[in-house]
This record gives sequence, structure tokens and C-alpha cells, in this order.
Amino acid sequence: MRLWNLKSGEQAVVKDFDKKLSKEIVQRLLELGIHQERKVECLKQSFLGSPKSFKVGDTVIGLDKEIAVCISVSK
Amino acid sequence: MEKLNLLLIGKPNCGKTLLFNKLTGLNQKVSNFPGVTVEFKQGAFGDLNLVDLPGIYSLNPISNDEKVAVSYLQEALASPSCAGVLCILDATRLERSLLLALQLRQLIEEHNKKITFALNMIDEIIYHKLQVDIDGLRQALQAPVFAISARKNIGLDELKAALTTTTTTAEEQAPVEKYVSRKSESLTHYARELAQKYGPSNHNILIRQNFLDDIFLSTSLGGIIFFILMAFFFQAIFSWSEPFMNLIEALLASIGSLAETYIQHEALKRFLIDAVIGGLGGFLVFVPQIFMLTVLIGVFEDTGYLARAAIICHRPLSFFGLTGKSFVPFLSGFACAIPAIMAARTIDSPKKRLITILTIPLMACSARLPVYALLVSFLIPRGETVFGFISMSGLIFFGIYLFGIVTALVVSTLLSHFVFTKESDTPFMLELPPYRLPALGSLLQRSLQSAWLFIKRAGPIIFMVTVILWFLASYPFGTRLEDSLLGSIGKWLAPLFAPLGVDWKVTIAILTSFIAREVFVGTLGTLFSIENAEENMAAMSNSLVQSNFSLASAVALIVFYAIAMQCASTLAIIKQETGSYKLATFTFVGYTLLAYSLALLTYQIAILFF
Repeated sequence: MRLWNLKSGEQAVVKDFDKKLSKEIVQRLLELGIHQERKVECLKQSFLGSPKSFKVGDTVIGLDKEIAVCISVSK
Repeated sequence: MEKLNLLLIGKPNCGKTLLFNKLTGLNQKVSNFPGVTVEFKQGAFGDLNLVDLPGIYSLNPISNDEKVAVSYLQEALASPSCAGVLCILDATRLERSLLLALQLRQLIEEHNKKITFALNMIDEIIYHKLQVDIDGLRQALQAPVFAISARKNIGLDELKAALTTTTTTAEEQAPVEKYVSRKSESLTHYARELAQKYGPSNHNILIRQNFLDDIFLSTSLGGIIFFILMAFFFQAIFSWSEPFMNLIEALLASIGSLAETYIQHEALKRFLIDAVIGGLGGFLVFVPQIFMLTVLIGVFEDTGYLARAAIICHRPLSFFGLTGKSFVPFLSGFACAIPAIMAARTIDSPKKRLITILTIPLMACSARLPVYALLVSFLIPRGETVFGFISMSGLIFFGIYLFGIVTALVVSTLLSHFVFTKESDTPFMLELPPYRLPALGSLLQRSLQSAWLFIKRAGPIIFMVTVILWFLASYPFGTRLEDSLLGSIGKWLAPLFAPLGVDWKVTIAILTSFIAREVFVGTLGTLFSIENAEENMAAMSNSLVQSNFSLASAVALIVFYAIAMQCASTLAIIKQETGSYKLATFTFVGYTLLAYSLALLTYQIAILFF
């Protein structure tokens, strides 16, 4: 499943990044703590298609659909 | 001898600029939105020159402000004039801070400079009864680490003492541990490991943040709260500043009567009353509104709400070719377009950044406030309310601001079809800062500073223009205004704006306002004062009535001022940020023509009703 599919309160582990994502974006995701085998929790559902917020370690990050559908996760 | 530079570095929103203020005594802009420091600020700190760099997540930059900061850092470290680095870590979000700390630690070692770490926001750790192992961090980073709170003044004396005694002795620093590899992925894991080992469990802090996000980002309430807050924002600017405006008006009137009574020399008396009090004083009345605007934007920034607003706005703004990150530069644009255009550097997407830059001038900046206030007072008497508590002027202002926003959205939609950039587009990702109470002292200080800067920037121009106008309007001495030199020039230029239903005096005011928008009010203040009107806004409004200025013209001029590009500094900053004279020229010509055409159309429609 994709990170974007997580509902509010659901947790999952990051599995992989799609090749579609540029090197810079993957780099920034890694720096924000989103890397393989990392636990991620969806905190807020999207509001009319707005970005969702995710908790990763000690950080809360807002990601839009364009990025979050390119990250595969497993529950 | 030239002072050595000490570079202040940290990730966005780690309290870096507040610490800079505390160390240098200068009052800089401090905010709770990632990426507010968009230019380098410097200040003296003992024998050192402290340089505040824009916040960076890592040494691998994506956005323009990060690229500028990293490239400056690398150049500075290679220079002998650099003493070292003071790196700020956020104790409440240690993992993210430690990644940058480890990267910096490696880079510093290559340049044989000194690095000191300040673990900021320790007050929140104490408040939540959490623990951080400072000694452990000190050992892991092989450098001095100080627990501080820039906001609560905790640990600052120790940090200051350490910085002034140790920054120049790089030899004492031990080498970083060998297992810190150069690969950023290994550093990411190591940062996580260190944060887990020595850092706090920030569960309590995140619970509070989640509780508030449940409200402010709620699917049902988030949008409603956003609109209520924005409506409150505009209402408060006008309602809260009114008593102060009345006070300044009363003060100016008293100075005027004193001058009238005690100054015997007729020319000097007229110069003081007409040029100084009429022109410069007429503009000073609006300073409280500018102060209030800065306070309110500061409250939104400091509390962390702006990052949430960026999330709420992202989807709607993306329909118009913009991003949620455009919201912050747009809101800053209500204060002044110059810092707002610079704040657009935080937008990762080059195309959306360019569109944001080109549309920021349509936000109703504070320089337009005096113009709108005069025109609105002509339309609606001050003090009139709806339902007994909503200020009618506030509502009209809200409408004018909304008009600027709608125009910006239309223009950005058009631009999104014509603007192409070489770099690929970057999707939206934003770290949400914790909610915090604003540091009120610092906020009030910086708002006063911004009001003072506004007076300092616009005051001399307005004074110069009003003095020239006063002489032109009084020459030949003893003649009526109509027969003066200015009268002749004005009547010759009158056809330019006659299609908007305005006379030669208002035409002169419009033309002089191409120097700076607020000069419009100063010019009218001088001209009407020469005709013996009083210096307050109601009197200026009455003088407009006497000069056959119609309601239709007032509405047309509001439209003109909402769009026209009348600020040389904004054009200069557009050129600086885009690196293109063509774009700056296009902005000036395009917006001025659009403003005139829409104002003309508005006037033609309005005369059917008024």
C-alpha cells in the first residue's frame, strides 16, 4: 500500500520510494526521517485534498499526494 | 582590526534568530514558520561578528534560501576571517537537529574551525519533566554543548562566556568519532541513534501538538477557523488601531493650533502647518495600523499557525498555479512586498516561486493603507457599524484586501500557463513546528521597529515631496492655489486621469504617489491644507467632496491603487530575486496598464449607480 492510503491514527513501516521521485526529494525525505523500515503514523486526514500530516520520530511532516503516493509502506 | 565572523546555523524554526537577538542585542525578525530568515543578518557579539544564516535542514540544499545559506557557509569556512560555527539544536526535535549537527561537525573538521552547540528550548524539556543527556551529546559530538532557552534566558551567560573564550582556539577540539561516515544515510541513522540514546522522549510535546492540530487542521473545522482568523485579522487591524489614530490626530491638531497662535512669521507658519503637519502629519496618522498589522502577522507566525495555514491553503492555491507555501509570502505582503518577495525563497518549486514573486505586489501592502483609509473614509463615515459591533470600514477594507487576493489568483492562473522554468517542479513537503506562545516582548519590539522603519523609509520622501509641492503651490507668493505654478502644471496634466472623474489636485497626488504610494495622502494633505482645511482625515475627506470628487471616482481609485505597481523598491527586489530587468519592467508596465484599464471600467460602471 501507499503512504497516502493511511487513515488518521494508522501506522505503517516505510518500504520503498518510487523511481518517479527525484534524488533531491528522496534525499530530503531521508533527512526528515522517512527511510526504509521507519515507522510512520498518519496524524491528519487530508482536508479536501490538502496535504496529510505524518509523525516520523520526533517530527510532524505535511506531505501532499504527489509525494505520499510514491512511498510504499506496509502495515 | 576586522572582527572574526561567528556563523549561526540551525534547522528552520529552532529559535536561531531569537538567540541571535539575545546575543547581539539587535532585534531581528523571529518567527515560528520554517524559513523566515531569508537574508543574512549580522550583529556585534563581543569581539566577534555574529552572522545569522537562513535555516537549513542539511548540507544538501533544495530550496533557494538553503542553496544560498550552504554556499555562504562553505565560502565562509574557507576564509581566515571565520572564527567558527555556533550550531543551534532544537531539544524538542533532536533527531532532525542532530543530522545537521553531524554534517556540520564533519565539514568544520575539514576546515579546522571551532564548533559549539547550543541545545535550545530546554525550558520545554523542563516543563514536560523530560531528560536530555548533555554530557552524552558532548561526548558523541566531541564539542561543547550548552543547554539553553533563548526565550526564557536559561544558560545564556554560560554560552556567552564559552563563545568569547573558546571560539578562536580550534586546536583544542577533539576529532569526531571515526564511525560517523560521510554517507548521508548513515548519518541519518546515527542521528536517530543519538537522539534515542541521549534525547528526550517527546511524546508529551507531540500529544499537545496533535490535540491542537485536531482542531486547526480538522476536516470540518479547519477551513472555518482559517476564515474566522483571517476576518478577525483584518477587523483587529482597524478596530484596535483606531484609538491610537485618534490620539495622533488630536496631537497634530494641538501642534497646529500652537503654531497658529505663537508663530508670527506668516511664511514659516504656513510652511509648518501646510507642508509639515498637513503632509507629513497626515501620513503619521496611519502608523498605528502598520504597527498592528505587524503584531498580528507576528502572532500567527510565532504560534506556529502559519505552517498549518500553508497546509490548509495548499490545495485551493494549487488550482491557481501556486503552493501552500505561497501563503506566508502573501500574508507578509500585506505588511510590505519587499520581505515578502524574499520570503518566497522558501518555495522549493522554481515555477511557483516565480509566480508568487510576480503576484505579491497585488497584496494590499501597508503603504496602501493610508490611501485606502482616506478613500474609505470618503465612502463611509468613521465609526459606522454593522450589527452594532462589526466596523463598516473594516468590512470595506476586508473587501478591498479580498479584491487584491482575487486579482492575484487570476493573474497567477494566467501566469501558470505562460511561465516555464528550467528546473523541475518540487511537490509540497513541510515540517510542522510545535505550537508555542509568542515571545511578546520581542514581538512588540520588532513591530515598533517595523513601524519606525516605515516612518524612516517613507518619511523623508513624503517630507521632500510635500516641501517641493508647497513651494510650487505657493509660487507666485500671495496667489490662490488655482493660479500657482502647481495649479498650472496640474491643469496641464489633468486630462491623464480626468477619465476617472478626478480633478487636477487628485491627478497631482496620483502622479506623485508613483514615488511611493503613501505620498498620495501627504500630497492631498498639503494641497488641502493650503486651502485652509484642517489636517485630519475627516477634513481631507470633506475637501475631496468640495473638489467635486465623486463616490464613483473613489471606488475607481481604490481599484487603481489595488493593482498599480507604484513602488521602486519592490521593482528593485523583483529584479534582484529573478535576476531579470525584463520581468521587473513587465511587472511595472503590465500592472500599471491593468490598473488604469480596470479603474476606468469601474468608474464607467460606478457612475451608473452613484
